[in-house]
Amino acid sequence: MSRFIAFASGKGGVGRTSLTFNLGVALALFGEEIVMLDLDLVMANLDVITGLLNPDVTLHDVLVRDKSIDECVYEVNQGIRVVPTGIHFETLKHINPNYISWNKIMNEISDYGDMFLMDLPAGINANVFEGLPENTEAILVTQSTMPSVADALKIRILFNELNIKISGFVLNMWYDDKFLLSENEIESILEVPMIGLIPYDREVERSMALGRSIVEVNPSSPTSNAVMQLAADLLGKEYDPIEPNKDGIVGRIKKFVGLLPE
Amino acid sequence: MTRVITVASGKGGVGKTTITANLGVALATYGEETIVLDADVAMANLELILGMEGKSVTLHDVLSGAAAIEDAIYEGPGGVKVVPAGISLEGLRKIKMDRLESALEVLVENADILLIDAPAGLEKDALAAIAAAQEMILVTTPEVPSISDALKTKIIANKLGVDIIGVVINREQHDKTFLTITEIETILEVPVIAVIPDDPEVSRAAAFGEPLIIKNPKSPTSNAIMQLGADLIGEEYQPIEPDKKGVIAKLVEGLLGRR
Repeated sequence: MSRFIAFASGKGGVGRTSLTFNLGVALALFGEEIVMLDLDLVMANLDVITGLLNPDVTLHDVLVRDKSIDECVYEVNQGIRVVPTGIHFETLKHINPNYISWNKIMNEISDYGDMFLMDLPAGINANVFEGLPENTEAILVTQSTMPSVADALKIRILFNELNIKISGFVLNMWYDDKFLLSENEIESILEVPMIGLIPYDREVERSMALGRSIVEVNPSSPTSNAVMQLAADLLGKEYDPIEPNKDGIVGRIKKFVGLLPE
Repeated sequence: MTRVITVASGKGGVGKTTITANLGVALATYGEETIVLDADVAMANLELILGMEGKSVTLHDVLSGAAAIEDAIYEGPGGVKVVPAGISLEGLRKIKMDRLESALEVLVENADILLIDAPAGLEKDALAAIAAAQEMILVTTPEVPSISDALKTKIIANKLGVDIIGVVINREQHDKTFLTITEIETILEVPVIAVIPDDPEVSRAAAFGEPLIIKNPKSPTSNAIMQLGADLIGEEYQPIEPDKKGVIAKLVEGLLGRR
């Protein structure tokens, strides 16, 4: 059965689209058939991030030009499929969000993979929230700053009202700073469990500028390990983080300084 | 004549609210009667950044018809006047955006400069905030997604007849992977009016509910925003910088003796 995972943040710029992309690559590395959907009809970025610049047919064309959804499924690296939203808003003017049949779109798309990662727009105005598939698992994405947690809380309240199931939150772009909110504080504010903690790493943005995912570019970085761990947890699989063998290094140093016999 | 300037970005999280808040304080310190209005009614953050959350009357109450705009104006740091949006979801549900216009008329009468913090995106509420002003400052980071969304906002602003003063590049980090100032000017076809360096102190200042420009006026970020404020109103600004020449002279004098 297909799994639908929606990423929502409330506040923009907390790394929601990058997390969707990196986690998608991580899940694909575990052998899953991944489809990523950009459901932000206005400020879509997934096409830019995945290097799919100016695709011929986008979700916009499906919505206004009666194109079929199979014309806008593109394959990018690691066999991941992407359904981009157009960035030309000439087209956007002709879309009446009240007449979009999200159910139909989701039904048609479900032939294209086993896991569907849906990048939801920031804010709470989007009508797409009400068109999410019934078995959608939502993941809240937040940083440890008060504004982003406050906005994530609004989404949590709204999703409860809409009966959208929330699996938990991912603390994204995290760095150790006691002036910001701790994971326990955020858990007690949002009242959902933390399911992932992704350390901040400038390499995430740099990799994406090159159209690549951090888990491919630098798989041993703490950020990549955290994303892979989250992917494994979502799948109920084991993940062995790529870490230096410290015992080996300690042994070699000791041997070097003559503390251990040869 | 009151200047009404919207600060907009397209993409969220590029620092729009932080720049609006600090620019508002900067303009107030130059003696301009400045009001900052948080028009991001759904995802309001201005009050959190300025440490002014929990006010009894907010823009929500004004837009729902329950209060007069005069009662939603509060004195903020550095003498800037602030109209918070309100952060409750309940409050949000009752609002009518068409009440914004008459509220703005009152604000305009009470200020030299009205700064409007626009919501991200191009939904109804964002368009209302953009259309309300004669001038716009675009905020972007040097990354492609943010510039592409800034471009969309610019196109809409042009269509609405809003004059774009220029673009502020936020969180600049001298990284060749990202776009340069010239590249950004070429794409957006508007001049770059300020470059604000990336600074983790901004989040920490927000955690204290104190704008950086007051918490740490000597930082390069604060200097850049003070300069932007000065440029907007045609004032001079002398950046607060360490007196390197003085230090070197003293050092030389100490080492070699007075010559």
